[in-house]
Amino acid sequence: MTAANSLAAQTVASAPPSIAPPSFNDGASLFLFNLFLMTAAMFLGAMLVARQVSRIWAQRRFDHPLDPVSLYRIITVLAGIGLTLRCGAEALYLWGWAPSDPATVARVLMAKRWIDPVAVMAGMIWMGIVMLGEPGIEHQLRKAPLPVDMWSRWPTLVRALGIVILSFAAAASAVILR
Amino acid sequence: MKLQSAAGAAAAVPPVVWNLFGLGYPFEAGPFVVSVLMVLITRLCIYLNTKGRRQVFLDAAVTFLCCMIAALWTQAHSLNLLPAAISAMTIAGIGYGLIGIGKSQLLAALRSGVGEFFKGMADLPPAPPETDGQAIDRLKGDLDRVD
Repeated sequence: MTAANSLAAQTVASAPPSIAPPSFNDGASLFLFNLFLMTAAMFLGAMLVARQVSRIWAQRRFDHPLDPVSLYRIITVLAGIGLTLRCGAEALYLWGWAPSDPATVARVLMAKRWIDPVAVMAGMIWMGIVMLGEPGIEHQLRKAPLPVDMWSRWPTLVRALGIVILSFAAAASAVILR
Repeated sequence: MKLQSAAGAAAAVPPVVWNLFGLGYPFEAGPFVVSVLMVLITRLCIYLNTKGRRQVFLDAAVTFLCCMIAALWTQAHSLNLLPAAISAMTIAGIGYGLIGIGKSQLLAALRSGVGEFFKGMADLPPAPPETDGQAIDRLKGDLDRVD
């Protein structure tokens, strides 16, 4: 069975034309909200994954895989992978919505159904590592100096802010100029 | 009843079409703007963290080049939103490599053009077909030479 005559493609082809998937009930603002956040989260998650993987690779000679810092980094990588895959699949579906092209919508929907469980598996491994490493990690995290100076690092979030703003602009132009 | 009203409310919305400066080259505005913004987002994610003044100018120039190529590609193939966004992300990911690709294409075209030029210079014009009288004369000459 090809994508062009799959059940999803037939459903899309026989549905009334709309600017958004049917679950939005033609609500343009809700569609914009979803499109914006899914796109931004996909890009930010991909950046976080790349950063953490490069950190793990750079420190591989110094940090044993069972060190608390390694566990923390693995948890962060898995959270990023889960968020990126889940939001990326959803963004793929939202961006790919085109009533004039049901075959593409069907392919994207099938891709989403395959990608989402992988994202959930990443989340489950993350939660498992949290449970297994809890005593050791908490023991290490209680050591002084305790307060973390977070606000001195705010310039690292400027790029993320730019991506959020540009994602909103892209989503808005997709909805308004359609 | 419900379905009827929904179909009536969701009458096909015509896409916004821009015709910049009255050039007579209309294109769909949505995929165009989306492709440019996707290039900017991808460049911001991957590359635009370099240090130094000249590097900043180079980055800006390459980003502008990527925007141009992505927008032209989107218009030339009149892509939908998703293909426009994905091809824009791919073009922005190639980044500096675009210059190398363009250079290699240009050099290959130049090389084949020069080759064709020299081949055309070297080729002699094709000989005109032989008539019956000429063939008889040639064969007679061969016979005389044998005798």
